[in-house]
Amino acid sequence: MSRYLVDKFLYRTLRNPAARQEYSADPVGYVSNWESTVGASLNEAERLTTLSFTDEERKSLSDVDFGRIFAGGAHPFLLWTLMVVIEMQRDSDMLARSPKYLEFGRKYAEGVRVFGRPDIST
Amino acid sequence: MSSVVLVLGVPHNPFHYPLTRGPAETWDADTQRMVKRGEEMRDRLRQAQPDALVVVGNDHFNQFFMDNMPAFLMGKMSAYDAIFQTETAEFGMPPCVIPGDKALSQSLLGALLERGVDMAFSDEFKLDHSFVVPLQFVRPELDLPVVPINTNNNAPPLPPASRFVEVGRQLRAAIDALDDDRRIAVIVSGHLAADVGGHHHFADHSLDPEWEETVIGALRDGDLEAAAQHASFERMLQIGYTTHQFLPFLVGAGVAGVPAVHAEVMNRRANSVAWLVWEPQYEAEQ
Repeated sequence: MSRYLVDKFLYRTLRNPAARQEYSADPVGYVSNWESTVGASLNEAERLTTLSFTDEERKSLSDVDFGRIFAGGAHPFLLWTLMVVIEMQRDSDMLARSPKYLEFGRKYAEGVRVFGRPDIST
Repeated sequence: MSSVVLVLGVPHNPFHYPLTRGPAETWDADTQRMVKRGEEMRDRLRQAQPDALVVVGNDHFNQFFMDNMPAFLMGKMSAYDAIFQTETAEFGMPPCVIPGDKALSQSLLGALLERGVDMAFSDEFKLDHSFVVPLQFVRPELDLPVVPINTNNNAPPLPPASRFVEVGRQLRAAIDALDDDRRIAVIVSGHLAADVGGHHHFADHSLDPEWEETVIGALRDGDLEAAAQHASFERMLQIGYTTHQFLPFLVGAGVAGVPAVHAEVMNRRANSVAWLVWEPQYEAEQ
């Protein structure tokens, strides 16, 4: 289990518009490439060798399955924000508080509700 | 001798920006109440005639992350870029630049470190909506220099609630001990019961009105121990993941050291918001 690495994935993907496009277009390829590049990098020069996803984490991220990512203890704020910004990137009508935005919020809440309040500590 | 002329506690709901883009007559009733209360807070701040603002907010993983997460961090820049690209993408908020007071940051940092508050600092601190939305309520001119303080209330382990009060007390002592004659207002911002990203995400009602009245009532009474006791990590987690963003209000309470003269839970069709006013000098004169 590496909740930290899942959060790093959500954080680094969320904060980079090009990365969000890549994740949205090809989740499986993006996740695989991310783990060995951005995920394994401390900075431009230093590599990290001790962090990796579990099979379950890799699969839930590759499936963009927000319920299972949530269930694993991903930080809910990061998870929601990445999911909604990706949706908004796909659909330019989906402005903040618009009906589509609120509908996606309800769908998200229903999707994570069954998983209660997982431990989010890293 | 410097003084804290006013302490205000205001919301930082980023939706306030898109909700107020259209003409005023198109705003819903909740938005109109928010704008009205914001204008009242703005008048109070103007009347207090501050020459600098200390603003306490919480970066929402825009800049700070668990690779290097400070519990409390002060910016010490002469100007601050504000609003991240994801905030523009999600809320439509435009970037802006807010003036800073580097010398004041340096003085306060030095004093806080001397007083046992191991405040981290940054010379490269970009401010997110938790700093900008409060300023848009109380000082939309964005003309006063700010000293921003980021508090970690998102990534556990968090400092306990009592530590937020104590940082506020020490910040007050640091301001009071400044050599020069400054009039400083402190703006703190946070949430009440909220669950962004959790299973009560976007609820159309308060998640826990009783808790909200308890903690805001404690600030009204000036009972900071009670406020902190009801703001434990576990208690707030029961309500929702982002309820911990209540904690910056405790910094304001610690700075003021007196009961709030205005302590309000504003109920809305979404999560409730808090509006708080402390007048430390008025109390000191009594």
